[in-house]
Amino acid sequence: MKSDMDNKDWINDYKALKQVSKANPFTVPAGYFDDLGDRIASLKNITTVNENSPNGGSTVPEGYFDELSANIQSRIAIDKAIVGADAGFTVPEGYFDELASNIQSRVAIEEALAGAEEGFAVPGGYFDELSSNIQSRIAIEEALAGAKEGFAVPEGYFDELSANIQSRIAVEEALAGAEEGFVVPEGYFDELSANIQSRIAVEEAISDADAGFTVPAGYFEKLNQSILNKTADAREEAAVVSINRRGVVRKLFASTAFKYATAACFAVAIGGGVLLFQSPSADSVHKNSFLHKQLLNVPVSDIKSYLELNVDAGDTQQTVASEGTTVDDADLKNALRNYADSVQ
Amino acid sequence: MPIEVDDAVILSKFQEERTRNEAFNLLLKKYQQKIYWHIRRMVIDHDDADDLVQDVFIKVWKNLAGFRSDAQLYTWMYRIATNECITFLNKKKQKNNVSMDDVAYELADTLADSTYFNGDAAQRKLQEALVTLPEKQRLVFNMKYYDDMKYEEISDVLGTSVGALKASFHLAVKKIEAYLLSKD
Repeated sequence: MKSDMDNKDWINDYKALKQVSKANPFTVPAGYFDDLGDRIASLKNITTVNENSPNGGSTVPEGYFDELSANIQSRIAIDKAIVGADAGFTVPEGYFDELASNIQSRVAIEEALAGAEEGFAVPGGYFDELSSNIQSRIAIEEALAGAKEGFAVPEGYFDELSANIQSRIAVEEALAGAEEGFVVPEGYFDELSANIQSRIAVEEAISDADAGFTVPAGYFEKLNQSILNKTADAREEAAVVSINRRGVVRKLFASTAFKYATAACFAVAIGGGVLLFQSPSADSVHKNSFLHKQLLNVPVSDIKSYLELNVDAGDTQQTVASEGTTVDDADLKNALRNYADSVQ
Repeated sequence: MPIEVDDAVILSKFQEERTRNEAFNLLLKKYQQKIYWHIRRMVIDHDDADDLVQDVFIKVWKNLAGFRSDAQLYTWMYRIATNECITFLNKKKQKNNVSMDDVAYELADTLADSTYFNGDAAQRKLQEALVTLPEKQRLVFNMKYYDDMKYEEISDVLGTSVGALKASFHLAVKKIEAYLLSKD
């Protein structure tokens, strides 16, 4: 049966195929099969080793991978050094990156320079208008010069100008110095407020001292009588004593010369007293003044501090001595009272 | 002519650790050429066939311990070789992104340029006709025509029924005959 492929005669039904030799047309290299088994066996052994060993049986020195990175970098550095040594010539960093743009810039500059040398140009019609432009410019310059000459100064102005300016400077400096001439002691304004308050306190103290001492009503009217009464009583008591004590009276000096000498002494004493009474001393006058009496009630330390804070030599001279004003007790008292009233 | 050792002996030796390499060497000597030519007729190029035959025997070495003794050893090895060939040809298609027809043309070019082909014009035409066939038909034809294998054996190799194999072989022969008649 033709369709039965199990029948080995099937080939007879296919004439063309039957004419083809059934021999193997393919060939292999000489001796291929001689060592094919050995090669496959070797491959098998390698495969077995690879399966039994993670690294395929290969090992590396201890620490190899730890140093591998450093070794590679060193090798790269050495290679670079060798390449650099071979070349010898170096260029600045980034030289080749900028080289193209530098060359283009240089070309542009060269072209610009070449164009500038050959290309001096003027606006159209420049030379046609140049003559008239110059003449117009000359006319304008002359007009400006004439305008400058139209301003006149007094004769000899510039001759005196220097001296006038110097004088003006001197005057300005003098005025400035005058304004600056008033000076106050250093720290004056810092202490001014405290000084004023201290002055007020002293004035108030003085005023209070004046007002603070009082006498009983009618004291001074009765004072004279009281003194007289006491002196009269004394004389009466003395008379009583002399009456009650009667004894022996003895003369100490009985000669005439002694009497004259005694009279002369009395005369000298009376004359001296009169003389002294007629020319009282300044010190006695001061001690009898109202200011002295009032100031006696003020402690010396307060007066001292007050004077240190508020009075200086110029002030004293200005207010007391220089003006030549006579100040009596009544005026001073009135002045202090007025001041105390104004403060209150 | 090498002395062929029975498959049972080879398998027996392979089961023992100390004779395993010996068993494998016996296996190589017995089947290396059959496996090679089976692969060579599929991939045409000798170098490709050489690579594949080594891969096949490495797989045999790795998997022989699990071989079922109820099957014939050589059909098992043929199955491995066939799968390797099909995988290789598919990779070739995917790598070049070409159709099977293009692979056939490429194989034909390889055949024309091959230095390891000494067949006559008729044999060359037959090979050119074969590369135009589908892989399955070519496999069936090669195993039947060149290796004189029975359909049952081919069925064990390809996992296809005998009837389907007969149909495939019939189609393959008709195509080849037509190819040989249509071209000079």
